[in-house]
Amino acid sequence: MALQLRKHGIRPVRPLLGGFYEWKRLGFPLTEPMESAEDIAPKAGSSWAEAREG
Amino acid sequence: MTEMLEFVVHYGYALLFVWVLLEQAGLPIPATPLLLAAGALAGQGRMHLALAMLVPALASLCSDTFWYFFGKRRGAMVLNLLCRIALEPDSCVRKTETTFTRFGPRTLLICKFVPGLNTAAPTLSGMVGVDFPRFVLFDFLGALLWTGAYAGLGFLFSKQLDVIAAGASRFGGSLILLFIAAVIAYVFYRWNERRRFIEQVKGDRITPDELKHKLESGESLTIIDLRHPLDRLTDPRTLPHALQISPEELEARHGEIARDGEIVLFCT
Repeated sequence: MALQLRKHGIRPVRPLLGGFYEWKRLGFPLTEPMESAEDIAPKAGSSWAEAREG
Repeated sequence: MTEMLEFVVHYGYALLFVWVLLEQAGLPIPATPLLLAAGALAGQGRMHLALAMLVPALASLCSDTFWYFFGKRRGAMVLNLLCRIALEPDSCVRKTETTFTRFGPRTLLICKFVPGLNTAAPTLSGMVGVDFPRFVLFDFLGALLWTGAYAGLGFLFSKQLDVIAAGASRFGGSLILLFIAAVIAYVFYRWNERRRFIEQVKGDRITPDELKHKLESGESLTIIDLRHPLDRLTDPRTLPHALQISPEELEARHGEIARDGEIVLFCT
């Protein structure tokens, strides 16, 4: 991803060490959900949603 | 190959079951040669083809069921652990999620033919909440497809496999050495490519403490949340002021990213 962004002239690009879970583990601030689970589910794929319904 | 055939005959279906069980559990012991051997033996009338397909398929289902429930309980942690042994762990999680998003539990039908996807797909099924009966159906059918393909090949070409085995014996150990050397060279090449990539971005990484400090001091920076929608379902929250742009959307949306200031990326 970092290299992809650089190709578009976007720099400096810095990956967050440890990612989301490390940030969360350290107890650093997080924002309230921008989307509800119902909003995200379609992006996760309708096949997934069907499988959950069984 | 002849030794392999005799080995399989001696230990029979129990060997097939245990070997596939362990391989599907994650051990790097390819079961394909064994399935080919079992099919070849069936072609020679020394094993039953249906059992040579069914027994390893059941073993595969057992292992996959374990990963399914483990994925259900431990979610993303399990997927990251499994992908750690992949040659491309950084993209393994992403590839698995992307394929699963596109095909859903039908991924289980073909995952055993796709390197890397095989181990992760049952875990992802549990993680995203595919109901168990549906998982068992697709997973067992996929396993049967896989064992049927290779055992069937061994069955169809059992005579040719004997010829190949005889030829391999004539060349003695040099053919095996050549094969091993080719595998080692390939693995080393992939490992070296990954090492070079990691070195390239390593120096640019930002620690959570550093980022938090920059946010609190009001520095101009853009934070991009690259998490897959499946990951965001686990926890929809995000970092303060983060833009949610997936790698698939990057080409279309890179214009939304400010060019001034630092850009910080994160995923799971």
